[in-house]
Amino acid sequence: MKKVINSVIFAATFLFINFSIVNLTAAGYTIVVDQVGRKVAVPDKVERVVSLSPEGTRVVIAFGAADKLVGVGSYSQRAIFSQYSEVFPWGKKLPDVGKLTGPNMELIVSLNPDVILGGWSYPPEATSLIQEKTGIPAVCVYTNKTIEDTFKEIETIGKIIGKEKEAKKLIAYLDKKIAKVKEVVSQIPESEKRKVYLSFWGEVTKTPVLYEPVDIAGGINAAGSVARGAGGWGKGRWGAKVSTEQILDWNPDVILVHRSGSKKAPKASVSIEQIISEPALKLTNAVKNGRVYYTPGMICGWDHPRLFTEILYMAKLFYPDRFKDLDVAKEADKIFKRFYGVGGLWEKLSKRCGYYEWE
Amino acid sequence: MQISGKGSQKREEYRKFVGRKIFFIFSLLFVILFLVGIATTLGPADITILESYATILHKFFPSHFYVSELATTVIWDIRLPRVIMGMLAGFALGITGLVMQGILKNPLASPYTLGISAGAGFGAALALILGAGFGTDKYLVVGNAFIFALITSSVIIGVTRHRKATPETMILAGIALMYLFNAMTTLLQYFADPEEATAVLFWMVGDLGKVTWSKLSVVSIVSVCSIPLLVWKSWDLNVMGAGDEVAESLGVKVEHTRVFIMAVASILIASIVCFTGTIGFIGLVAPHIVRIVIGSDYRFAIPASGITGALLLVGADVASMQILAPVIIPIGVMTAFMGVPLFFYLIMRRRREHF
Repeated sequence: MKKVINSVIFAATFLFINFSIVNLTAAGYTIVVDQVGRKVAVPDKVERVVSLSPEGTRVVIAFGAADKLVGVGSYSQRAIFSQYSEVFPWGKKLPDVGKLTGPNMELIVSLNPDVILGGWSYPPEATSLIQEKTGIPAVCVYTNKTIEDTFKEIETIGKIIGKEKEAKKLIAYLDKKIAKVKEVVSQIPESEKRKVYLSFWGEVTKTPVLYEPVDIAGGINAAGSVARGAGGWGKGRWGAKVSTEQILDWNPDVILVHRSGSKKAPKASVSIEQIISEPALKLTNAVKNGRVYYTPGMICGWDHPRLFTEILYMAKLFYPDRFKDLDVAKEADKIFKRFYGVGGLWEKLSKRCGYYEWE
Repeated sequence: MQISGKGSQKREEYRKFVGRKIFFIFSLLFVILFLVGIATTLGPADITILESYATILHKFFPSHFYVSELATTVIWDIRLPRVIMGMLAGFALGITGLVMQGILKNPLASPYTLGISAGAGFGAALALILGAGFGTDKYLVVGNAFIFALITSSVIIGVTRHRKATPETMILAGIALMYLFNAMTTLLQYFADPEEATAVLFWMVGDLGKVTWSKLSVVSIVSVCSIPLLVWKSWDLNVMGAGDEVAESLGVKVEHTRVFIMAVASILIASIVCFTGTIGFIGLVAPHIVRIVIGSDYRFAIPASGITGALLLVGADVASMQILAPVIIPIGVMTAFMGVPLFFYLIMRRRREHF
């Protein structure tokens, strides 16, 4: 018995010491509070980064720090490098360290990164486990599907990889983009606001109960009254599955169909024709007035430029008269360029997905 | 004198027993009609009970009832297809479960444990994640699920060409296939985007909301063709209950019957599952409820098990729509929640052994 207690005490001390090595602020380390509230000691000089989630990878690229990436998760490969393969031909060569929920720790260690950027799908313990196993500081960063957390994410990553100035600039830039929309929207009386139904995740009746781009663009999310988390799958439990009768009862003015442009399985996703031909929806204002459109939505988390262009796109779709001067294609192209450094990306995406285009 | 008196007494008892079974079936029928009547009046749209029925009657007597366009759409395009599909699917699941348990002489046999649902699930996953498969556009998932459900049962039947068609062979083959298809689905999900993986999950838990009249007509045609075939074999099934040797000596081609019923039941179940997704449990529990209440004379058990299945499924569907409205709880989850307590109660107080 004594032996057992002894070995437990030994193990505990051993673990404690191990923890302290990572957590104590030694010289050359700064404490960063990540987005789930974990305190992590990160080296001041970060030269090598492994990013597990695409949301983190996108920000690192936006900072012009893509050369620091030494390995990325599978979703990054799929959602960024194969989506924009013409922009990031080098992306394919980056080692794929595996799934967000269980990466290949040995491979990560062999890449010898200074820091690991984890993602939304982690409970805090899971990231702590990666940190514990690899001995490399691991930080949770994710957009959490709100603009506030998106900015927080950009800020946190900026702090970690030493790009605080770039982070501030980027946030200010994006803030200005939505500020313009917000200003126009603030003048719209509540009674004239468009009610919007979002058909997401490849099914007519699946809908996010909280989708900030709609709110910012001045729409009213039809499913907004559904308790958040009551339905739910995936990140942060935002979705609900409802009946077509419920959609008809909400009677939305606009229906937006998620089309991420993922190259796979286009056949299995919802199409505008499907919404229009759905007998139950033919009485909604949206179908009657032909106001059913594709929208970018998410792809493996939020693609930052896509998120902000979506806000502009939606604003003009909802209120074409109030946003007469807004050239969505031009503005969207700028935002994409700000992130990925190349022009013409919005146009390509828009063509591929069939987003609405104004003359 | 005495002997014939005893005989007529027995006959009288048997007549009463049969009467009780028929009474059971008719009372179930009454309950399901009542439930369907309620289900068509429930929903988020603001339609009164009277209006609901007026809308239904309007279709048959257009001049006598005034109805709104909204009510017509809600009742005829949304609620009725859902309820009718619930009935048909429950009916088919109940019957296939019963006959499969019968031919395999195993209380655990059901489309689920025989891998048919798993095969359909893999077919759907293949379509949802890779976009590959049989059928085009909106029938891709459906077509794939149907084909893979049939592939599963063909393999099981194929195995019996080389081994005797004994219950053990078929069950073991089915379970092996279930594991294989589940593993392949998991593999697909593992490498899929999170959105696609959840799409597969959603397919797996079943959904009656995607039903349209054209899909219903397909299911009805298959049901009308296959259910009489199963009822026709109910005497053979009764005899097989006494053991393969006894059945053979009475002139029943046991192996032939087994394969025949398996094939018909698979086609029926595949045509349902491909539209609704996998709805577990009903195929397992409905037959047992019926056996416990009225015994396993297949002439009565087949319709009774079908109606019990329909009752469970429609009841579960109503509950799944109402409990967290407007959010829908997956039907596959709800059937288990509703069926398990009932099942437990019946297991505790059953008096006969059937296997």
